[in-house]
Amino acid sequence: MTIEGLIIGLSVGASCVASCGPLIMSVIMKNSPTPSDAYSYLGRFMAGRLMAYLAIAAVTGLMRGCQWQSAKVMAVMSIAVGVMMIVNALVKLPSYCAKGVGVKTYIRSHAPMMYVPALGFISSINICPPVIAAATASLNAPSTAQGIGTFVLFFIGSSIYMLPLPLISLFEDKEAIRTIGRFMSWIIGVMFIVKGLIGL
Amino acid sequence: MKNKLYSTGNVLRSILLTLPMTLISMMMLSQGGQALGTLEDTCVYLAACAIYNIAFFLMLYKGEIDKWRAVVFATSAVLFSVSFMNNLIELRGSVTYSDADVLSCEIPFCHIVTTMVVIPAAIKQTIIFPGSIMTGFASISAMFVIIFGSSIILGRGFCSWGCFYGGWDDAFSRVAKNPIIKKVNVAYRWFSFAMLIIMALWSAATLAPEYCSWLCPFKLVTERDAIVDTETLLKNVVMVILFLGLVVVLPLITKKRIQCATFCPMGAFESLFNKISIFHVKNNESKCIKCGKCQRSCPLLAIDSKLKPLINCSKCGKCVDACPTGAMQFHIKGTPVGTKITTARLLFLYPAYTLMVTLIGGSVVNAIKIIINLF
Repeated sequence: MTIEGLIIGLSVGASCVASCGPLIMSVIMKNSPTPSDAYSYLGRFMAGRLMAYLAIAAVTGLMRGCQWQSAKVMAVMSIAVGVMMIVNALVKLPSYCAKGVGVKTYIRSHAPMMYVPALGFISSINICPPVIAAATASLNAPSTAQGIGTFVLFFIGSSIYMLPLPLISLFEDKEAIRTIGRFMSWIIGVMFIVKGLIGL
Repeated sequence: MKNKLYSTGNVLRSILLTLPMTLISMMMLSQGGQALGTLEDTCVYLAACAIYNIAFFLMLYKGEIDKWRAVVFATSAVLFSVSFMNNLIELRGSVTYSDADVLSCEIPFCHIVTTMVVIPAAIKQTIIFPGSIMTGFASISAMFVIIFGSSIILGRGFCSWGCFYGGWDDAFSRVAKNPIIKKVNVAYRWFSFAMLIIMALWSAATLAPEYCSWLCPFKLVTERDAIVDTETLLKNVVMVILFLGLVVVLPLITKKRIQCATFCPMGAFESLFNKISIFHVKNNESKCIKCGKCQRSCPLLAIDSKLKPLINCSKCGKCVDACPTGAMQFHIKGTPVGTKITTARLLFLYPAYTLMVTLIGGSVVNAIKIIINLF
């Protein structure tokens, strides 16, 4: 049943906020945008997350459920997320993409905005318990289309819990929020790098 | 020397105003009669009552809150550790805990853990701390009632009046006459809020109190992991470094409560309660001469460049004592500014001091007994 994906997503979504929430929260807080920009960041992060989930689903399907992720790959991913968080602490992201003509200008103006979906992708490309539950339901679906539907509904169900996060940009004291976001990025960055180094 | 702005004026009036606190402290320190077994116990009990009440009397008579609060607060924190560690040695034979102690849920609940248990408790109806819910030494339910009750009334006042760890860095921040590092970047005050968000969510994700496991400096003066492997060795090394760095060295060289001001997630959590507490410290701008003494004296970096107390004020009273014109004052929200400032001050002092006596007083009585029995 396709609806099973939605139910799984809704039941484990709080865990997703706890594990992935700090990453996008620190990006939103550090760059302290308007609520619309904050939702734009969240959307991009979620797009990256969806890509990661689909990639996992595809590889898991191709490999017929075989274990394909090694501890070393996870450790490298963890270090990559850590480095990205430290970059977030040091660099300010643009609020909107600059308008321009031509490929060069487009890439230059859009490249920083690729940071957020890339963060979503790299941080989500690991097999956590909620994804295993969704992947199992997806593999048990009677057809490929229903399997993909199950996974997409899982993603929607688990993402609903993320929706209130950008509301933090409504706080009036932007300087305080920005500073807290910067500190969060440093702490998370160091944590992920240490975790990755231990895993190597 | 008296602070003429706030001194109650004469001895008799100060004694009369101390009387309610005397009754409260006598009741709380008796621990339901347990502290009055033998003559020696009674003498210790009376000594503890005297210490608390003399300090309270001096706060009123001299008109200085912070000086006398700090004496009792720091002494109480040290004696709490003595009592706590002795209790553990009697119960378990050691101040370290093993996996078996964790599995049998015998770890006393500490208020800092509150920041990590609330989200899993709300979402998953799970208490992620290995302590007892209802029974035993420092049960989770009893601590919850005390922490949330006092926080609603006092806001972050808990950190300067009730926290049995805060006295450590408060004490070290007063040792040096002048700070070696004169200016601390005030942005660091927000670091504890970042810690709060990350620790709350990290603990919810892993269903384990991660701050306690890895980052709490005060395990050195309470209980800690038994060293059985590389991981527990690493945890102990981190704990010692954090205690020496944040609680001893940095407070010594900055004269600020660095651990409380910049690192403790519980401090950030308590700050949120300042929004609902009726008591706060306010700068009466009509009296302020912009000398900046309040800002320089604040141990928690809680006064901004406009000399306005911020959300992380712990109501220790240091800025109130330092203010030469009485502009910085205790205030009850909703009442006119600048009127009945002594009444607002007294109305804050009674519940704040009651919290200190209730939460730490019993341990002080026990610790005095332990120290006497050593000789």
